[in-house]
Amino acid sequence: MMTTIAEVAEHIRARELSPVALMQRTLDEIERLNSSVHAFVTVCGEEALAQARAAETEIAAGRYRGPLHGIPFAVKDVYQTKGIRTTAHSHALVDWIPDEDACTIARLRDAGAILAGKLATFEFSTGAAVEGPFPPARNPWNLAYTPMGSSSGSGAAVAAGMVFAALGGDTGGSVRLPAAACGCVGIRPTYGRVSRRGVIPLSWSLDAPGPITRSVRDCAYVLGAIAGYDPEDPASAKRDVPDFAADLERPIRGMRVGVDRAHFFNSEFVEPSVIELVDRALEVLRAQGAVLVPVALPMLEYVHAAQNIIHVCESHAYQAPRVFRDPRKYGPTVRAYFRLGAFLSARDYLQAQRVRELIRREMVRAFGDVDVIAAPTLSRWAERFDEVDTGTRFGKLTGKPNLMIPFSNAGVPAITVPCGFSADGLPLGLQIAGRPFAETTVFQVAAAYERATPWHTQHPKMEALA
Amino acid sequence: VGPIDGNCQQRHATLGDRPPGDVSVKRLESLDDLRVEAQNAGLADLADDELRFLKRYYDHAYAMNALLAEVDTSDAEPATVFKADAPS
Repeated sequence: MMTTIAEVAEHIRARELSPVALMQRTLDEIERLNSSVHAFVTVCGEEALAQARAAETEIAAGRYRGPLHGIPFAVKDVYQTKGIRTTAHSHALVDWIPDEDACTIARLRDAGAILAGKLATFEFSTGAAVEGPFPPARNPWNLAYTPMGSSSGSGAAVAAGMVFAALGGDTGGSVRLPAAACGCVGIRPTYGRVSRRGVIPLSWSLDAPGPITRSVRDCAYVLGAIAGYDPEDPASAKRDVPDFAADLERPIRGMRVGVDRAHFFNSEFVEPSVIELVDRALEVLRAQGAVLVPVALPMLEYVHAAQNIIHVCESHAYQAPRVFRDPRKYGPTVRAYFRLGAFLSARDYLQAQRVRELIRREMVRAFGDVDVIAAPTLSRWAERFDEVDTGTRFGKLTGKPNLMIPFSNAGVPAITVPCGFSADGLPLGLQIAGRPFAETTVFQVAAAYERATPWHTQHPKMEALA
Repeated sequence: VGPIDGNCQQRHATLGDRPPGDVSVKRLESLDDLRVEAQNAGLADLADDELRFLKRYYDHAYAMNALLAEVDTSDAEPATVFKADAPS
């Protein structure tokens, strides 16, 4: 089912497509594909069908709620789901059944969307692709490769056509990374735009829930449903939620697109074939009238260090009681990672947060001169399962930089949109970041690029997956 | 470095700015150093293979701290999510 929410929603609204038939087809696809893709760790079959019947009745009675009504979605298994186990892909929580939905799930249900199931992740959103109680999700474009992570199942399920949309969690790129590696669209919203309540924390000051979809418009629809102030999330921003799809058709002529070649196009750290494809993507934006403007963000020299020290300290604070008590319930990667904070000081943590503030200021200043900043999403192609090295998760210091961290660290919105393929058929993403709370602008530029290119119309070969 | 008012100066004095290059913790050079520190932190009886794995991470973290210590942050207050009027 490689259609989009925007396409099927029209048929549902016109009562030409039954939500029950759509959900049954979704469950059939999950059944057909999951033994090879392993995107789902829990499927909500009967409950989902019951909700689809309720949606059908409601729509038939003239109470159509909007483009997500009757649409199947799924979530990374760190989102709490009332009455449905929530495992974080870990033996530590393998039997946990929450008694409340995450705020984001409640909001999607209010919009009429229907939860089809829970998705694989790297353990507690930060472990290795190959650890935990369930098989790892595989990349639908080539099952020998990881979908990248940590929202691995979210990227894989959407790319394979198992659901129309999935929620992931982005601390240092975990929405954008699997979205790009799986040929999907994914956005990390501004920190505070979407409530974190009910999402198992990884790093409180960095975590941002966000959607993965097969089109920019679908991504705008889902973000519109989950965004908004939540008084029960201390980081939630009191901001109005605009219509994120409002400017999708607006031309980008005259818009200023910042490009920091020193950091994001440095061939010492970024694959030359990746640079080549993203340079072509920038030319597509220029051909539509956008102006490419050089920007310099020298503080990014420190961004990996600041991000990782914050991440290590905050995840240690959250996980230490359990990982000290029951270490064997954690895979070796997260076990070591969550213990690491015990060797760092309060001063280390606060120095990292202070450096982060300087990075944020520099980026906000740069946005004074440009509308968006464009960059590759990935520095390299997706990795094969037999290449996974659990000891090298610290990015630039090991020669594998994470190009999404700068925007996570600064807390600004950043989207990835498909921008081509490697010689052996693995997808790549163009990353577009914007000013704080300027998601509408980010969507506008992403949609302009999407309209001008064919990448989003290409999908994995489904017969090879079944 | 931007202008600092009196209140800011007082706050910074309280937090204690460190000179550039000052890494707050002693480097744990050997596996035995790490073992002792782990025991002090409540992580007793870690097997050698666990310690070796942890040491790889520790060495990265130390290098990151050393890099961050180069930055003059005297004008930067750390970001927090604390809100005095949050629901109880």
